[in-house]
Amino acid sequence: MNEELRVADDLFLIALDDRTGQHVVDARTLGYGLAGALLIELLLNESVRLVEDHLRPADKLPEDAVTHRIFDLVKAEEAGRERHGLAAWLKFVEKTAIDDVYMRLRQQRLVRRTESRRLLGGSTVRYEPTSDVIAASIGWRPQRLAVMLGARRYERGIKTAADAALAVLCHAIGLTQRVLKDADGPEPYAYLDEIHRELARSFTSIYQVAAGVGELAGSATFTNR
Amino acid sequence: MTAPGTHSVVSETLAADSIGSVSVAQFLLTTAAPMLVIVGVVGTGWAVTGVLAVPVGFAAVAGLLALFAIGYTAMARRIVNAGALYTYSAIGLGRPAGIAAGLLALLSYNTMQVGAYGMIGAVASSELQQYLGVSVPWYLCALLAWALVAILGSRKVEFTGKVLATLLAGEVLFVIAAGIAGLLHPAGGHVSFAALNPGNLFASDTGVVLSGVGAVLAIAWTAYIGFEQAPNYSEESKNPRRTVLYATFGSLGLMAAVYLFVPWAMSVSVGPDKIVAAAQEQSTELLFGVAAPLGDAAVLAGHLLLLTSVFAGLLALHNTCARYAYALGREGVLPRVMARTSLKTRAPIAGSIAQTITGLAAIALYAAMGWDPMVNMMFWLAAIGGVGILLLVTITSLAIVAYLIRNPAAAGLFTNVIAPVLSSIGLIAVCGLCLDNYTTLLGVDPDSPLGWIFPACYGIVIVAGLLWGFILRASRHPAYDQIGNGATVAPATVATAQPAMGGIR
Repeated sequence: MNEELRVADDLFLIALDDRTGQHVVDARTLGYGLAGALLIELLLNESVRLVEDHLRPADKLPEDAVTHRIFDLVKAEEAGRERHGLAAWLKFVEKTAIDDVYMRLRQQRLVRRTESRRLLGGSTVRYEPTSDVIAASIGWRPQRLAVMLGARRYERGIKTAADAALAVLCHAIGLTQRVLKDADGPEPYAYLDEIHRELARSFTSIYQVAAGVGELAGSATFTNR
Repeated sequence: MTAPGTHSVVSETLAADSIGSVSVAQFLLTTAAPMLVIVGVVGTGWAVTGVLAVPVGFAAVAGLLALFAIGYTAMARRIVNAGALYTYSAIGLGRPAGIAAGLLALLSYNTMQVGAYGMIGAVASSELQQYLGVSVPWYLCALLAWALVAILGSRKVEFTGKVLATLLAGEVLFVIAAGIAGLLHPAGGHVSFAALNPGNLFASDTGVVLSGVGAVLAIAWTAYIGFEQAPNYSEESKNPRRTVLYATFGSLGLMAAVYLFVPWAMSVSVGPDKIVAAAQEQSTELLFGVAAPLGDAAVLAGHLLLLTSVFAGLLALHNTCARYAYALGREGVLPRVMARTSLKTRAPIAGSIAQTITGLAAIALYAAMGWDPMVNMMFWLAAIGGVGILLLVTITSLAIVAYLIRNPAAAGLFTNVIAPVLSSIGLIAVCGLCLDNYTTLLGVDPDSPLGWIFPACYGIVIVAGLLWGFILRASRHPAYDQIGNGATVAPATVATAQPAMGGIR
């Protein structure tokens, strides 16, 4: 597995318990997180811009089929003079985000999905690593983020906007405790604070998307949908 | 705006999955539990206050709430936020007021929820005796309900929309059918409108005019608790602006109609000169006596619907308490551990556990002390919690006035100023009546210390909330700026699991 993964792919794997094959967050929350990650990939690639809470297509084409489909839709809605706020886009992309990101991971031969029926109806979906080596790599993903968050004192912290986005998205969907469960002291949390502030200053669009994800994930706690 | 001849995939997709006004109204009505109101609140209102025109009191409160709802829904259209009363208080009156409102909400909803355990315990115990000849103490029945609520609440399981709709429809149909049966069998052979005479609102068997009115209004107020939660669903709504508006007024209108018609019909069936005494003797069986002409099977169905109504209300209030604790924990007003959610179910697990422990402690206390589950637990705690929420809504009404004056909606002078100001004046007057006649509300002697102890608790909570807010502000605590933001991912400060050493504060 490459050290650098796309933001959404990384988030999917960080949220995955490689022992059980199930995600540690509920599907809707994960969906919002992945939706935010996919939009952030488009922003980082300069395929879209966030202008006053509205997504606008830019000139550079996305690099993969999933984000390309979102980009095409942004263009089509723009052409139809339909203006949707960021929350609407997040809610829309959320609906297929888990499946879309899974398909990308499957194409990279990282995970495969299995489904088993439950005794009283319904089914349990699991995402299993395709090999033991891949399983170890998947298990490393949250630790990789934790190492970066704990490494500021050695001037080795988070260097890229993609990793910063990943860190704040993990926080937005409640994965901070999972990532930093073995953290030594409060410094990684304070560093995460700083990353939030830095994104709000220098990468406002990314910060807005993460804030939108957090708002939707938090609001979902108030309803049973 | 969409260009002609095109359609928006995004809009259509979101609309298909969003909930409409009817669904939201359903959720609101479940919390309000109309059957519980008719069986428990209305009868107790007659029994305690001795005022015949209790239905008029319900109508009066509905009118006041309709005025409140005008400004409330106008604010909800501007602020799409699940925190509702607490958030609006913070935005309108400032963060210290928001904290006070949040703490008051937590205390009041908890008190109401715990009180309902008394009702479900007493009713279940009575029905087991009546239909199965089995004698089970009320507290064992309450503990069973408590256990179910604890399990379902911690997993954020609520009744599905279809189950809710069916039970709710059954409740409403039963009470209306009982009312019609009562009208068709009037006492003395003629239909009396005495219970609808506003003049009779001011005549009380207690002999003190305003004390009866104040108590009736406080009791009537508790019947509508739940209608204020529509903004919680704004994020999930097809059209947040319209859904909150229609759901709020729709549920309020339906409740007002039922609470006016059915109690009046009950007074017609029993006789306006006998209804107070009958309520005192028959307690929760009063409605079922009126419904007797419907047949034994219908009455049995009614008893079962009462149990499901109370249970659904218990679960809804439990979840409300857990969510308030979550919101306050997330914004740093309460310890951040209260913001912990179950990753798997999204349930606000810490808040749920705290509320569960509160319920258990209350049931244990009442059982150990031998206090009456209906009078001392259900009615007293419902009255205490209800007045607390009345104060909360009053604070929110003032916040709405302040907000809409600063940020007027496009709707005009009546929406921005007149309705909110009138509702604030009305709510303050009702609060004053309730607090001034608290002993009548509780049904205790006028000299009882309970008449000032419970109101003092509200004062303590409000003052504590204000002080806490001022302390946070003065110490420039990072949590202060997040108050009223609702359940968002706040910048930096939320990331800290514990106060960071140094850094920007």
